[in-house]
Amino acid sequence: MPNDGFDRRTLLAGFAGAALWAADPTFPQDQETTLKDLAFVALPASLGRAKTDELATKFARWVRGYSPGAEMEHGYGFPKLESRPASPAPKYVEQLRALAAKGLSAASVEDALKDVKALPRVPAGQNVAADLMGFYFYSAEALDRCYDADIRVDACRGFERVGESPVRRKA
Amino acid sequence: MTRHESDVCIIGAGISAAMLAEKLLEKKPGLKIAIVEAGRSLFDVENRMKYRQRRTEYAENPWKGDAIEDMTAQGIISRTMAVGGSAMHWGGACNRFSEEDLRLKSLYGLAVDWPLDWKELERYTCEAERRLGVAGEPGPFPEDSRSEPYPMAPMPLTYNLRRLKEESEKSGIPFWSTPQAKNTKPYDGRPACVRCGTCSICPTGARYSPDFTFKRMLAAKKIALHDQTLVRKLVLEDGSSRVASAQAVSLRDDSQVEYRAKRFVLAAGYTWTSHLLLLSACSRFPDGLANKSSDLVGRYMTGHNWVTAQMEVPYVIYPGMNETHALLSRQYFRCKPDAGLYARHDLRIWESAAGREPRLRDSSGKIQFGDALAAEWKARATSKGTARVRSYYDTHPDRNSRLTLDASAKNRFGDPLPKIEHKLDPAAETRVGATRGHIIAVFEKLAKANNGKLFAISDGGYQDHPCGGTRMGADPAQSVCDSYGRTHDHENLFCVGAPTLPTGGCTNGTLTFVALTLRTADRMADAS
Repeated sequence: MPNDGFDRRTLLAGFAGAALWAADPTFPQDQETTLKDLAFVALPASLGRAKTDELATKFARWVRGYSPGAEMEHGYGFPKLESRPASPAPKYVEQLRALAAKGLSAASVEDALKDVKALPRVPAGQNVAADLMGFYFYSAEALDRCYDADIRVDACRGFERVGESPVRRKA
Repeated sequence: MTRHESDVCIIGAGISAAMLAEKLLEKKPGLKIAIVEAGRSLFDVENRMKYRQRRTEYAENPWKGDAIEDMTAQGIISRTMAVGGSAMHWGGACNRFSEEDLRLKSLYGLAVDWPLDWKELERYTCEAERRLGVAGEPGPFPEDSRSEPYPMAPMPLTYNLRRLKEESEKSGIPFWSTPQAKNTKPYDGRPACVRCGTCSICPTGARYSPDFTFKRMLAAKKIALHDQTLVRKLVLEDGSSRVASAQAVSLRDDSQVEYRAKRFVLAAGYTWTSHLLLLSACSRFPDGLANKSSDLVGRYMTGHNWVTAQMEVPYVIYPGMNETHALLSRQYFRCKPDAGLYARHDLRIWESAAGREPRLRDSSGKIQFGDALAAEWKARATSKGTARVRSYYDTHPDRNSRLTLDASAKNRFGDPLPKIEHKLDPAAETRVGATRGHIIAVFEKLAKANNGKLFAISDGGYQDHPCGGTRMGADPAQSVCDSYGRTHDHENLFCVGAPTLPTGGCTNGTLTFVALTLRTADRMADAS
């Protein structure tokens, strides 16, 4: 790559301090109720309202902890230096307001998801409903729930009984 | 200009440099060693749990600052430039090469023989396993016999791998635990693995990485480590072909730095070793250092091709139990010289989540969410399972498989950057289709044994575990360095690790890179 003194990472790190790029410590602003309502529709309602509220709160914490300009993994095979883009918070708030205006329902969530092809493994900052769903469905908690197992993929778990099925024993 | 003097100046601070310096200092405790590395030192093991978490939650790079924006190459497969190199984030796979890798010409009339014999390399492989801390178990083939046991018991098989082993061995192909540089007991001052499942950022230090070796040598004040310092050129002594100095620039403040040493070792990996030799062209060596006798610097760039596939099996696999560990078979590591097809490859099986992940759209394309999504996911995930199979296969480089200087791409100091273009030799190129067909047939055999089926069969798209560029050999006209890495053209200039390999084998190369480096260390120590 020809170099002209332009260091993209330094530039992005500089941007990270600018208002446009800053993480939003106030997310979800005045849309906390909408976010919780969205979680109750988009995530399994069988978890119960208290649990989907808790997941909405965790998602909001994730958004507040997002670090614009942070280096991303550059991969192996076809490496590429990239940085995390601007905080998704403003777009999310805008989308939550639109959902609230329409009235949150299965139909409005389905409509909000109509242009999304796949669940993002890590929230991609494009669609608050898809990102909230990816946030939960790709979590260790959801994986264990899916398999009724104690896989605990995010934990440092040791090797005790690793050769046995992780399926939870019925009481 | 700042000037540093040492007995040995090692350029590049990856796994080969760590092993070389450590062993040299054990054999010659008073040796003055300077190690120069363009990248940073990322030694804060105490923060790795936090970095792991940010990687998991935000896909952030857990090795912040491990790449240099304007130091890249066309055809490169990793951007890591840091003290410790790629082995800071490697998976720790420590498969061995085999005798056939060293005798391709004699046995099969292919490529070249290596200029050393297997028994000698095997002894150094044992030493490499001890130094890295490899947990493994021997395979069943007598050709894979070992002169020493593994230092540690193998990584335990998860439920997933036990099931896959049980079913896959019905094919008649034996499998066992892939040897890995991960502690299964406290070893060498590092703890036992606790199955965090994120080996590319091991938060505990149970997986070997060279920072531990460097930190130990630094704490004992045994080496001088100059990180963020880019060596741009090697300069010869007046009237001699000995290397006098390495001319460098500090990446902190752009100041000039000079390293003078009795001996210089290039331990800069498969890209930057050849690159520096080519950059160091001078009137007496107009095509680059170490390049007069053979014109082979940057040539015979190699590695291995690979084929991978997903295998659906009719039993549940639980994704995430230990996705970085795999089953290994060496059933196809050797083929008879009179076999119709020359095809040598390894064979590995991992747990996989392919086809078992949550989906926004069902099989008809309809959007699903909430309980409907969870139910569809559960039905799909718990009715069957998926495993991933992969084989690296032996290919051989053409003379024009090259690293060259790309005049159209320069770093901020105006140095042309490398351009790598892999090319197989005509025989290897001709075999690709048949080898690929053979491997897919092996995968199908495994699928049949599992009562399953293959999907998503694909080729790697690049040469993995790249090596070559300063290949070793006995004939100075056909190689850049001798079997100890000493360049034929410069008696005080050595190359170690990946670049010295004439051929890339058919399994992960790091253990062999280290074994060869340890052999070089013996030679250098004996000669000092």
